[in-house]
Amino acid sequence: MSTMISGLEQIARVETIDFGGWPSPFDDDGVQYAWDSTSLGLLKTCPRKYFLSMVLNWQPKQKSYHLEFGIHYHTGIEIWLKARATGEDHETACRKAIRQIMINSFGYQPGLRKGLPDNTKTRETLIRALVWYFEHYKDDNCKTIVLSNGKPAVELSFRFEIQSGLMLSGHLDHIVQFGEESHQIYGQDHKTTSATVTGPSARYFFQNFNPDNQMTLYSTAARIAFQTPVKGMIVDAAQMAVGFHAFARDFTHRTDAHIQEFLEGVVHYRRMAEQYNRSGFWPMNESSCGNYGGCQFRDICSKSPQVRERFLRTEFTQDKPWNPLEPR
Amino acid sequence: LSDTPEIANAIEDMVVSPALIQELFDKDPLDLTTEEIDVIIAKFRSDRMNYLQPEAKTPKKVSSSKAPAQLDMGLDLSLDDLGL
Repeated sequence: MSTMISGLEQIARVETIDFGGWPSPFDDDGVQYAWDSTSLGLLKTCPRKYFLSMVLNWQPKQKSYHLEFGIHYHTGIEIWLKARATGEDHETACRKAIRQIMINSFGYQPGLRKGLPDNTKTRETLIRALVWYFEHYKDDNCKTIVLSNGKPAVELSFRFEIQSGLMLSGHLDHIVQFGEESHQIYGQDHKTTSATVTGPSARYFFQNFNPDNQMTLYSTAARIAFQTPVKGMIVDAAQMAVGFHAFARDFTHRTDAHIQEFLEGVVHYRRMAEQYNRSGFWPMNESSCGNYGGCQFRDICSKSPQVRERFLRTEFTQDKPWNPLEPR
Repeated sequence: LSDTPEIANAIEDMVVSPALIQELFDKDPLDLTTEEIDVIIAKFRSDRMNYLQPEAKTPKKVSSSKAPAQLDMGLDLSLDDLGL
């Protein structure tokens, strides 16, 4: 596959994508105007990766079990938090969440890790992690804030314009007040990991979140879209292990100046996307191919350009496009 | 499953056999009763307590097949030395 395709060809590809009733995140010129942390992160990581997954909509045929596990975990916490925020007792909230996730995860199977099924992310460890989480944070000093519309600030879909024709969107897990002081407001994001999240080595995990595209975007969204003066984000980490779970949280702060700098970056990257789109050339950033266990397109990009499309068609699908404008 | 004595005992004693848990995980989740959901929750709460309170766990059994190490006390006494 040649990556030197004309802008017109690319526009045609984008326009043929069916976004399932939701508006397309691409404008009439084929340039993305609605950005979430996933698509922005893709472009920041590697223009070619962004082009293949966002513009051409190639997704691996094999759905990531990490992603599926994470979705179930987030949903379980969301159900429990919402129930607690609306006055239900701990037991009822636990039952409600566990029942729903038992239903949602029926048929879920972990993928392979080093050739063997990943037994840190089984259906049983999923349910166990949720039960342990609920016990661990039963008397949490983070309290869900209630938005001006009277709803608890849990699993919040947002979209807002930062300049004409440029929008940020996404989903924020939670907005909380930490402790008794009403100005201690933070966004909160839940992460599952196999990394150690307690003890001295926990800093290796938590330092990943500052600077961090997703955490800064969420801090921005909390301030602009939800009019909540958050100080930054709380990262609630859950370690997934075969025989246990450990929980830890860390704070990552963002000042107004951080947010301003981030927004300038968004405008810059949007302009870059426009230029790549116009030229039809989306360069590879080879220095990021090995990040986080390796890019999903590494095997494709390692092939000679003329045979790449054949391999893409074998191992990838264009079934369901990622749409930052689709609410959860 | 919910009517079985095993479920009633499991809830009362918070002791859930791995086989019962497996059975509950294999069951169509739409058919799980509240009691069965409670068993699952109780099982994982109990696992957590065991993990957090390792001293409450059953102590490791000392192997009887191996003789305890002999201590060298640096003594070289005979019965005579003891006046016996």
